[in-house]
Amino acid sequence: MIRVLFAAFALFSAAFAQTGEAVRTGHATSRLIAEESAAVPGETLWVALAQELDEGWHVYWKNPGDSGLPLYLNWSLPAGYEAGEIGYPLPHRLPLGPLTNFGHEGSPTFLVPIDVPASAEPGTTATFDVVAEWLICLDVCIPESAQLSLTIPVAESASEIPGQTGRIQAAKSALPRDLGLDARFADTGDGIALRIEGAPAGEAFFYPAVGGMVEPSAPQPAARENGTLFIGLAPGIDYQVEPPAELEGVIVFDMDGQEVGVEIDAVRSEDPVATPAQLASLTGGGAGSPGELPRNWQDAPPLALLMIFGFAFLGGVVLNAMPCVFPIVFLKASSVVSLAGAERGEVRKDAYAYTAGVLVTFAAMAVLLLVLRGAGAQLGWGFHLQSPIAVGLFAVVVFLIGLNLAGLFEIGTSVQGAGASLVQKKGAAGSFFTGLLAVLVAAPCIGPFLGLPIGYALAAPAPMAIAVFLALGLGLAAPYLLLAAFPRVAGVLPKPGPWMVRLKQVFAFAMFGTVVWLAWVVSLQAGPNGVLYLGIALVLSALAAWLFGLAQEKGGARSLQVAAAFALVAACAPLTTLQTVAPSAVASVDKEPYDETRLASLQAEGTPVFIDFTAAWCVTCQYNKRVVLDTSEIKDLFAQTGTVFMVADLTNPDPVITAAIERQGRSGVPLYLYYDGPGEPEILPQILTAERLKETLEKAG
Amino acid sequence: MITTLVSLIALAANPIPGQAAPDFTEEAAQGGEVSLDQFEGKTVVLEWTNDGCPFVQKHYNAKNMQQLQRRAAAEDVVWLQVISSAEGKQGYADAARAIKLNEDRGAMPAYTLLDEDGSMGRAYAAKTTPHMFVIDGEGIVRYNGAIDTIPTANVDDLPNAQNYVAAALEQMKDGGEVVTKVSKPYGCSVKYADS
Repeated sequence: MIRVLFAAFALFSAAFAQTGEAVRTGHATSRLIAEESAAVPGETLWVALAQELDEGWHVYWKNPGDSGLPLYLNWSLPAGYEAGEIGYPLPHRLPLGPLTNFGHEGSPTFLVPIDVPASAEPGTTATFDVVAEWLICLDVCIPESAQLSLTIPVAESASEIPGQTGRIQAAKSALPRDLGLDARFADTGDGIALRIEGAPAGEAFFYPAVGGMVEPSAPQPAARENGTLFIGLAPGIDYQVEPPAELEGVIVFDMDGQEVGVEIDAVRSEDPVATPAQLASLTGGGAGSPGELPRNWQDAPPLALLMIFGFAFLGGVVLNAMPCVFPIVFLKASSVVSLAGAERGEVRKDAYAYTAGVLVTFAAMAVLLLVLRGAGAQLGWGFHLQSPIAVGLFAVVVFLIGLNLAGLFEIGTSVQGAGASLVQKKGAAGSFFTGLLAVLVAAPCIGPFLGLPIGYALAAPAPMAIAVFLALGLGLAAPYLLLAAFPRVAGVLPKPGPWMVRLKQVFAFAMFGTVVWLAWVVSLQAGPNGVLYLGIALVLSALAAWLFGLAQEKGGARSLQVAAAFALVAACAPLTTLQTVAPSAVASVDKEPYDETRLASLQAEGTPVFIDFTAAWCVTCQYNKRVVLDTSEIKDLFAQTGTVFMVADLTNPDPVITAAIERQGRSGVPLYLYYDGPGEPEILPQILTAERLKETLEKAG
Repeated sequence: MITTLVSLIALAANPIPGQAAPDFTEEAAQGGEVSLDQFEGKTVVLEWTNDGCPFVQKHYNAKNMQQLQRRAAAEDVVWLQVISSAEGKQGYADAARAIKLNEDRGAMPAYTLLDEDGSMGRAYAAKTTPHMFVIDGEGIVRYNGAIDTIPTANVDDLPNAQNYVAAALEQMKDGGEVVTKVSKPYGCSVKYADS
């Protein structure tokens, strides 16, 4: 059926010329397009191979990087016509494990200028034929090829072609520019330093024109100084064997998401192109752009380490201004407020206790994270918030603090020994607990400067990792440590008075806001029931707080205290049953393994059969399964129409299944076949949609 | 633990011809462990392979790789296949599957090394399948690169391609220098475990 569509499309496009027939190969649709409606004698006509790649699949740039192959075009043109070099779109980095390829995803447009001879006769037509070969990869690679053709009239003048002119012009304007920049490179002993004068702004990455010169997967630290750009490169094997006289390539500058390519033709210099200080700034990670870290931590020079700790500390300070830590900042502020008029020693003790709370919690979380990761868990920083139970309990704690600040239960003032809340309790323990809370809240929050140190810490040896986290904690506590250093600052606060109570009441709302956020998190993790349980927990904990307050008013009535404790336990109990909800928990349709004998008999009796050729390693397959095949709607439809669902699993090699796939002219999965009685199956698209599948299934039913 | 994390991230430096080849000890599909040093005095060929890769299939379907292996065996050259595909990735093979694959296609390497953790692949900075190395009897790398001169998955290109490995073995026979010591390997990327 798809072939028929394409045939119809071919007829249609032949009538309109200028657009070649679209050819669908395994994972791409390709066609030739032209910038203008006619070939004008003596001028250059820009044509392009326009491809639409399946989602996730990529093809390669002229230097494909560690593996892969560039596009190959073999033209057959009328006499006198000449095709130029392929103009590639700007490359992107495509990492695959430790390897990196350079290539294109989505809808790449490969430009080719064709010189039209002056002798071409207006009124005739010209046909451009090309055999295109390319390698297309997801993580598996499939060589594809297509024979493409474009017939275009020869005329004295030409006009724009809607939809094509725009695409080609956009591709032309994206071609790397030759700005005639002066570029030189030299060995630095352990790498290559590339120096470019007058480079445009933006984050730079150098894509070498040929392979073997520069390691594609090595990071490229960059530094700028007075309009000069320095880039550090790791030499490839060809470079190591014999350094070239020239290093050609394209630098892509990323200016706030806008990419500009500039052609570079660097000349080898025997003299150093960078001073030792400039080199140090290179190896140290560049001009403040995180991520430009020597990949191997062992390679990190002391300067870089210093920078990592610097960033961690700075990041910690900045965390205080991040929205996610705000509630704790308010909490801390309220405890600072209660220091108004306090002794210097008291102020100092408070700041130290808070810092200790922050540091101890950071260290504990870092150790826990490293141990869990060592055990093979795929966890990142902030992992504790991946558990709805932890988030729920956390919400209750924050809610209680809010009620506390609002004054529902008074603290330590009116009642002696009423077991005041730790947080509000004046003195060391309370400040320590505030520090602990600050870290728990701040953990999922990665603010400016933190990407680099945290990424580093997760790959560094344990003592180093913990040191980085401690530096971060020190940064988080720094503003309050300043208080300890200059206790007189606290003296600036007004005299203690009713304003302190009002301010704390205002701060309570910051806590309630945090509860709303946490409730939202729970809703995503545990679904509507999770929110219900959390709501009940909040009401019960409010009851507990109220009873507790009453107990305080009555001078510590034992029965009320017991009731309060009971309410609190009742509040938390349901939370511990929270479970992460799977995206779709639906009754399973009976799926049968692929069986050709059974298929033949089902076909004979006219039972519709749907076959899912799939594999665990096939991302598209899993996507289709998740989004379409395993939805309750589709499963119901299978049951209603009596369609048999067969699974042909290619996760492990299976010659029968491979042969079945090849009979359909395909090379791999996903492949979806629908048999309705004897005869050839209908092939469904590789990116399945529920609508498309419904249409097919219902047609038979 | 942390050091394995780090080694997962990085490929080692390329072994350059003229330098000592990285040592390795890997489990062989044929049984036992195989190390580089046990072949002292013999020329060793390393072939990174992945049976699902079209570029590997090109050389096996046309019997090109088998011929080269047979020739190596006849000349007392040790041919080691290396499978660095991680479990679950294309080309992964346990011992039984690796043996069966070779039986089915008539391949005859001396050993097939099961490098599922990718440690040997990373030590050699193996990038593609196929990716070929030739190491002399003193453990010095003599060739690092592609199998031949035409980087395609098309069987029809084989007759016109110059085989780098065959040339290197020929040139080394009389104690001579390998002419082309380095080339850009072509093929599918080695399917290492995700780092």
